[in-house]
Amino acid sequence: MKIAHPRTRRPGVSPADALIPMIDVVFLLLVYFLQTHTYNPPESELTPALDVERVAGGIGADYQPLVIEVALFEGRPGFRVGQHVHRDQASLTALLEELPRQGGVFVQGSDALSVSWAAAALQAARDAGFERVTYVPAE
Amino acid sequence: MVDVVFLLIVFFLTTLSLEKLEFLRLDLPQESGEIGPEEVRTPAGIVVNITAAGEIVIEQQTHTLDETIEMIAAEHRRSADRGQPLELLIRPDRSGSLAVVNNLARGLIDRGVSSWRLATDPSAARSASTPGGGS
Repeated sequence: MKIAHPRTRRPGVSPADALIPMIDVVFLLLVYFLQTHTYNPPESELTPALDVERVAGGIGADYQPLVIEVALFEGRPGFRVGQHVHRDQASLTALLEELPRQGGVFVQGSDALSVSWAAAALQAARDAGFERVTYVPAE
Repeated sequence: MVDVVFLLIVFFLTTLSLEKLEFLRLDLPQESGEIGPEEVRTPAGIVVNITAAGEIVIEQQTHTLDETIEMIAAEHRRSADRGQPLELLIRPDRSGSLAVVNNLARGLIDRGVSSWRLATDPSAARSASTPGGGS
Protein backbone atom coordinates (compact mmCIF):
# COMPACT_ATOMS: atom_id res chain seq x y z
CA MET A 1 0.00 0.00 0.00
CA LYS A 2 1.39 3.33 -0.92
CA ILE A 3 1.17 5.94 1.74
CA ALA A 4 1.15 9.43 0.50
CA HIS A 5 2.99 12.04 2.56
CA PRO A 6 1.05 15.13 2.19
CA ARG A 7 3.19 18.26 2.02
CA THR A 8 2.25 20.48 4.86
CA ARG A 9 2.57 24.04 3.91
CA ARG A 10 0.66 26.89 5.31
CA PRO A 11 -1.35 28.63 2.76
CA GLY A 12 0.24 31.81 1.52
CA VAL A 13 3.85 30.85 2.53
CA SER A 14 6.19 30.53 -0.43
CA PRO A 15 9.41 28.41 -0.39
CA ALA A 16 11.45 31.62 -0.33
CA ASP A 17 9.65 32.77 2.80
CA ALA A 18 10.46 29.44 4.45
CA LEU A 19 14.18 30.18 4.10
CA ILE A 20 14.04 33.32 6.20
CA PRO A 21 14.10 31.60 9.63
CA MET A 22 17.04 29.48 8.51
CA ILE A 23 18.95 32.58 7.41
CA ASP A 24 18.18 34.14 10.77
CA VAL A 25 19.55 31.12 12.59
CA VAL A 26 22.68 30.99 10.42
CA PHE A 27 23.29 34.67 11.01
CA LEU A 28 22.84 34.25 14.77
CA LEU A 29 25.31 31.36 14.75
CA LEU A 30 27.77 33.50 12.81
CA VAL A 31 27.47 36.31 15.34
CA TYR A 32 27.76 33.83 18.21
CA PHE A 33 31.01 32.34 16.87
CA LEU A 34 32.40 35.77 16.14
CA GLN A 35 31.71 36.78 19.70
CA THR A 36 33.14 33.68 21.32
CA HIS A 37 36.25 33.70 19.12
CA THR A 38 39.27 34.44 21.26
CA TYR A 39 41.06 37.57 20.23
CA ASN A 40 44.66 37.96 21.27
CA PRO A 41 44.98 41.27 23.05
CA PRO A 42 46.40 43.77 20.56
CA GLU A 43 48.92 45.05 23.05
CA SER A 44 50.71 41.73 23.06
CA GLU A 45 51.07 41.54 19.31
CA LEU A 46 51.32 44.97 17.84
CA THR A 47 54.09 46.44 19.91
CA PRO A 48 57.66 46.07 18.73
CA ALA A 49 59.87 45.63 21.73
CA LEU A 50 63.40 45.63 23.00
CA ASP A 51 64.65 42.40 24.49
CA VAL A 52 66.19 42.85 27.89
CA GLU A 53 68.08 40.09 29.62
CA ARG A 54 69.49 39.54 33.03
CA VAL A 55 72.52 37.30 32.53
CA ALA A 56 75.49 36.14 34.51
CA GLY A 57 78.62 34.77 32.92
CA GLY A 58 77.94 33.00 29.66
CA ILE A 59 79.58 34.13 26.47
CA GLY A 60 80.60 37.42 27.99
CA ALA A 61 82.64 35.86 30.77
CA ASP A 62 85.96 36.46 28.99
CA TYR A 63 85.17 40.04 28.18
CA GLN A 64 84.56 43.06 30.30
CA PRO A 65 80.96 44.14 29.69
CA LEU A 66 80.28 47.74 28.90
CA VAL A 67 78.20 49.68 31.38
CA ILE A 68 75.97 52.55 30.32
CA GLU A 69 74.88 54.59 33.28
CA VAL A 70 71.64 56.46 32.69
CA ALA A 71 71.43 59.11 35.38
CA LEU A 72 71.72 62.76 36.27
CA PHE A 73 75.20 64.13 35.68
CA GLU A 74 75.80 67.66 36.92
CA GLY A 75 72.06 68.00 37.32
CA ARG A 76 71.22 67.01 33.75
CA PRO A 77 70.19 63.61 32.40
CA GLY A 78 72.64 61.77 30.23
CA PHE A 79 74.42 58.54 29.40
CA ARG A 80 77.85 57.78 30.86
CA VAL A 81 80.17 55.19 29.35
CA GLY A 82 83.46 55.09 31.23
CA GLN A 83 84.42 58.70 31.76
CA HIS A 84 82.43 60.06 28.84
CA VAL A 85 79.01 61.58 29.35
CA HIS A 86 76.69 61.80 26.35
CA ARG A 87 73.61 63.94 26.37
CA ASP A 88 71.84 62.49 23.35
CA GLN A 89 71.09 59.08 21.91
CA ALA A 90 72.81 59.64 18.56
CA SER A 91 76.23 60.32 20.07
CA LEU A 92 75.82 57.35 22.41
CA THR A 93 75.04 55.08 19.46
CA ALA A 94 78.06 56.40 17.57
CA LEU A 95 80.32 55.68 20.52
CA LEU A 96 78.95 52.16 21.05
CA GLU A 97 79.51 51.31 17.39
CA GLU A 98 83.22 51.82 17.93
CA LEU A 99 83.43 49.50 20.92
CA PRO A 100 83.78 45.70 21.07
CA ARG A 101 80.46 43.90 21.36
CA GLN A 102 81.47 40.48 22.60
CA GLY A 103 80.94 41.18 26.28
CA GLY A 104 77.53 42.68 25.84
CA VAL A 105 76.33 45.81 27.52
CA PHE A 106 74.71 46.65 30.81
CA VAL A 107 72.29 49.53 31.00
CA GLN A 108 71.95 50.87 34.51
CA GLY A 109 68.97 53.16 34.97
CA SER A 110 68.58 55.65 37.78
CA ASP A 111 65.29 56.10 39.63
CA ALA A 112 65.61 59.84 39.09
CA LEU A 113 64.97 59.69 35.35
CA SER A 114 61.99 58.85 33.19
CA VAL A 115 61.49 55.61 31.26
CA SER A 116 62.31 57.25 27.94
CA TRP A 117 65.97 57.68 28.89
CA ALA A 118 66.44 54.00 29.72
CA ALA A 119 64.64 53.01 26.52
CA ALA A 120 66.93 55.32 24.54
CA ALA A 121 70.01 53.65 26.00
CA LEU A 122 68.62 50.18 25.24
CA GLN A 123 67.79 51.24 21.70
CA ALA A 124 71.26 52.75 21.22
CA ALA A 125 72.85 49.47 22.29
CA ARG A 126 70.68 47.51 19.88
CA ASP A 127 71.30 49.95 17.05
CA ALA A 128 75.03 49.64 17.66
CA GLY A 129 74.81 45.90 17.12
CA PHE A 130 74.93 44.54 20.65
CA GLU A 131 73.06 41.26 20.90
CA ARG A 132 73.25 40.86 24.65
CA VAL A 133 71.71 43.84 26.37
CA THR A 134 71.11 43.64 30.10
CA TYR A 135 69.12 46.10 32.13
CA VAL A 136 70.26 46.64 35.70
CA PRO A 137 68.35 48.82 38.15
CA ALA A 138 70.51 51.41 39.85
CA GLU A 139 71.54 50.63 43.41
CA MET B 1 10.60 42.37 15.16
CA VAL B 2 11.71 40.01 17.91
CA ASP B 3 14.49 38.82 15.63
CA VAL B 4 15.69 42.35 15.07
CA VAL B 5 15.65 43.16 18.78
CA PHE B 6 17.57 39.99 19.53
CA LEU B 7 20.15 40.80 16.87
CA LEU B 8 20.57 44.28 18.32
CA ILE B 9 21.14 42.81 21.79
CA VAL B 10 23.77 40.42 20.45
CA PHE B 11 25.40 43.24 18.48
CA PHE B 12 25.73 45.47 21.52
CA LEU B 13 27.03 42.58 23.62
CA THR B 14 29.67 41.89 20.97
CA THR B 15 30.84 45.47 20.68
CA LEU B 16 30.94 45.78 24.47
CA SER B 17 33.27 42.79 24.82
CA LEU B 18 35.55 44.08 22.05
CA GLU B 19 35.82 47.38 23.85
CA LYS B 20 37.05 45.57 26.95
CA LEU B 21 39.79 43.87 24.94
CA GLU B 22 41.18 47.15 23.72
CA PHE B 23 44.63 47.74 25.08
CA LEU B 24 45.46 50.40 27.58
CA ARG B 25 46.56 53.53 25.79
CA LEU B 26 50.00 54.61 26.91
CA ASP B 27 52.59 56.99 25.58
CA LEU B 28 55.25 54.37 24.96
CA PRO B 29 58.98 55.10 24.56
CA GLN B 30 59.47 56.47 21.08
CA GLU B 31 61.99 53.95 19.81
CA SER B 32 62.08 51.76 16.75
CA GLY B 33 62.51 48.55 18.72
CA GLU B 34 64.20 45.48 17.34
CA ILE B 35 61.77 44.11 14.81
CA GLY B 36 59.56 45.64 12.23
CA PRO B 37 55.80 45.57 12.54
CA GLU B 38 55.51 43.38 9.48
CA GLU B 39 57.47 40.53 11.05
CA VAL B 40 55.92 37.74 12.99
CA ARG B 41 56.38 37.99 16.72
CA THR B 42 55.67 35.69 19.59
CA PRO B 43 52.61 36.94 21.43
CA ALA B 44 53.38 38.04 24.94
CA GLY B 45 52.24 35.81 27.78
CA ILE B 46 51.88 38.60 30.30
CA VAL B 47 51.54 42.26 29.46
CA VAL B 48 52.37 44.65 32.28
CA ASN B 49 51.22 48.20 31.69
CA ILE B 50 52.81 50.96 33.78
CA THR B 51 51.06 54.30 33.59
CA ALA B 52 52.70 57.70 33.87
CA ALA B 53 51.41 57.90 37.43
CA GLY B 54 53.16 54.64 38.29
CA GLU B 55 50.09 52.41 38.41
CA ILE B 56 50.59 48.83 37.30
CA VAL B 57 47.73 47.52 35.15
CA ILE B 58 47.40 43.93 33.98
CA GLU B 59 44.34 42.92 31.99
CA GLN B 60 42.46 46.07 32.94
CA GLN B 61 43.10 45.47 36.63
CA THR B 62 45.32 47.64 38.80
CA HIS B 63 47.79 45.72 40.93
CA THR B 64 50.35 46.58 43.55
CA LEU B 65 54.01 45.97 42.86
CA ASP B 66 54.12 42.94 45.13
CA GLU B 67 51.01 41.43 43.57
CA THR B 68 52.50 41.91 40.13
CA ILE B 69 55.79 40.30 41.04
CA GLU B 70 54.06 37.32 42.62
CA MET B 71 51.74 36.94 39.64
CA ILE B 72 54.63 36.98 37.17
CA ALA B 73 56.72 34.64 39.34
CA ALA B 74 53.85 32.15 39.48
CA GLU B 75 53.42 32.30 35.71
CA HIS B 76 57.19 31.94 35.33
CA ARG B 77 57.08 28.73 37.36
CA ARG B 78 54.20 27.37 35.30
CA SER B 79 56.04 28.21 32.08
CA ALA B 80 59.16 26.47 33.37
CA ASP B 81 57.12 23.37 34.19
CA ARG B 82 55.89 23.33 30.60
CA GLY B 83 59.43 23.82 29.35
CA GLN B 84 58.61 27.14 27.75
CA PRO B 85 60.11 30.54 28.50
CA LEU B 86 57.81 33.17 29.92
CA GLU B 87 57.01 35.87 27.41
CA LEU B 88 56.85 39.03 29.46
CA LEU B 89 56.14 42.40 27.88
CA ILE B 90 56.46 45.56 29.93
CA ARG B 91 54.64 48.60 28.53
CA PRO B 92 55.71 51.64 30.49
CA ASP B 93 54.59 55.17 29.77
CA ARG B 94 57.71 56.97 28.64
CA SER B 95 57.10 59.95 30.89
CA GLY B 96 56.72 57.75 33.97
CA SER B 97 59.41 57.38 36.58
CA LEU B 98 62.01 54.71 36.01
CA ALA B 99 61.73 53.89 39.71
CA VAL B 100 58.65 51.72 39.14
CA VAL B 101 60.37 49.78 36.37
CA ASN B 102 63.46 49.42 38.53
CA ASN B 103 61.47 48.11 41.49
CA LEU B 104 59.70 45.65 39.23
CA ALA B 105 63.00 44.54 37.69
CA ARG B 106 64.54 44.00 41.13
CA GLY B 107 61.63 41.83 42.21
CA LEU B 108 61.73 39.81 39.00
CA ILE B 109 65.48 39.25 39.23
CA ASP B 110 65.07 38.00 42.80
CA ARG B 111 62.53 35.45 41.56
CA GLY B 112 64.59 34.24 38.64
CA VAL B 113 62.77 35.98 35.79
CA SER B 114 65.73 36.58 33.54
CA SER B 115 64.33 38.26 30.45
CA TRP B 116 61.55 40.54 29.38
CA ARG B 117 60.69 42.89 26.58
CA LEU B 118 60.17 46.59 26.71
CA ALA B 119 57.40 47.86 24.47
CA THR B 120 58.15 50.77 22.18
CA ASP B 121 56.26 52.91 19.71
CA PRO B 122 58.09 52.81 16.37
CA SER B 123 55.59 55.07 14.60
CA ALA B 124 56.30 57.88 17.05
CA ALA B 125 60.05 57.18 16.85
CA ARG B 126 60.12 58.22 13.20
CA SER B 127 58.66 61.64 13.88
CA ALA B 128 59.77 62.53 17.38
CA SER B 129 63.11 63.53 18.81
CA THR B 130 64.82 61.21 21.24
CA PRO B 131 65.93 62.11 24.76
CA GLY B 132 68.66 64.66 24.63
CA GLY B 133 67.63 66.03 21.27
CA GLY B 134 69.39 63.45 19.13
CA SER B 135 68.05 62.06 15.89
